[in-house]
Amino acid sequence: MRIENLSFSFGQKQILKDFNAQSDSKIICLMGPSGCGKTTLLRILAGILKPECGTITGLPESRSIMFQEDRLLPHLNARENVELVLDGTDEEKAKTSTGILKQLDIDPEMDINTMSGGMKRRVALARALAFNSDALLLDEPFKGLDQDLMESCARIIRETGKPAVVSTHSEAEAQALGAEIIHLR
Amino acid sequence: MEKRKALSKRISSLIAVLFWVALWQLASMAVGKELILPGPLSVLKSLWSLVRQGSFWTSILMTLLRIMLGYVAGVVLGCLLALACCTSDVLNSLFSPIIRMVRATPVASFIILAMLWMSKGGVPVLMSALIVAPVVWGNLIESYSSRDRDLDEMATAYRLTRWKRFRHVIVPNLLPSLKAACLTGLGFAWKSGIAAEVLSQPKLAIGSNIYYSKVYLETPELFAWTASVIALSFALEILVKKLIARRNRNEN
Repeated sequence: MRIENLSFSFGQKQILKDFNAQSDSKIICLMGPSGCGKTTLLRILAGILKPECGTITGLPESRSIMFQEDRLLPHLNARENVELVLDGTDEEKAKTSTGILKQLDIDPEMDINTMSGGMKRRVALARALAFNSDALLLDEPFKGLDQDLMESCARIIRETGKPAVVSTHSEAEAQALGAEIIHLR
Repeated sequence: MEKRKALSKRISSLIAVLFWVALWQLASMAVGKELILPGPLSVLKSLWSLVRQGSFWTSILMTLLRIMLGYVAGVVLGCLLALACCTSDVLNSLFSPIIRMVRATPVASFIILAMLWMSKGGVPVLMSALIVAPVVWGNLIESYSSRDRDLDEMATAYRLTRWKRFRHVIVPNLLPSLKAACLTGLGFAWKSGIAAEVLSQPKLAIGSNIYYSKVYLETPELFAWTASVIALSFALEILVKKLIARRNRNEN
């Protein structure tokens, strides 16, 4: 992936200015202090925000994003939240969603409203992983997870074999993902 | 503990009712003219004589039918208009001014106009629908414009189909507002429907009977009919609340 001269601002506030980065690594971690533009960069990579200028090359066309907030639908259970973003027959969707949720140690039929923050995070991760895409954009995917869960989630992300851009504050998370770190200031 | 709390609440409610009935009795005694302000006992007597007549129940049934028909039509119309305004800016520009105008127009003006346009029995139906539809529309539009934009963004990012977006993202967000609008609209439908009956005087109607009681100076009967309107309104409100609660339980 190669990013050249990327600039973006919200009104008067410049978030990214002539940002450049290049990596051949399959998994990239964006690190930096709060407010440095990690989430903004992920949203630009996802196509949600349009940069003022700059180019991004080498990123697959179809991308799946896990937002910084869980953005789950509270009236649906874990399985239904994942199935919502899937195509195919009901049977296929149930098989895919149940499989991925069980891998992440989540009861597929569990009510979202009774879940802890860490559980909701894993459902959001399951949705991003299950979605039919060629790349993952994950915004703080391990927020609220303990060390063991973080490592098992990182392993599952690695095993998908998809290129991923992950924002994080933790070097340990970057290491667990085997990612190259790009620092934002 | 809970039972004691409920019992104490009931006793407080009973005391409040008794207080107001006593005050009514005292006011009636102070006025001293049944034609101006009949006492509760006299109204109760009138009500008792009314409930023994078949025409009382037929009037209640017919009024109930007219108002409920208008209410349901108003809720459906309000939902359809909100759907049209939320999905298309052109339709929003087209419908919004006319709905706002209907909302601001005095109900009496509409009743008089409707009396020129349609049969007497149709006026209360139209009035209830015309009053309820803008309430439902307004609540839904307000709720839609203040919806969670993060979920919209999620739906776009995951390329949800229009149907999935409507069914799972938009509708659940609007349901609480729709329920509130249904409850508020019920009271409005009831009031406007009875007002329409008073002015248009269809056969077999509570409103017509209220009007005749006034014409024949039968004030206790007027109070008795009004009391039956209030009782029906409360009963319907309880029914709608129970229906909503049952739906909530089914959803959970």
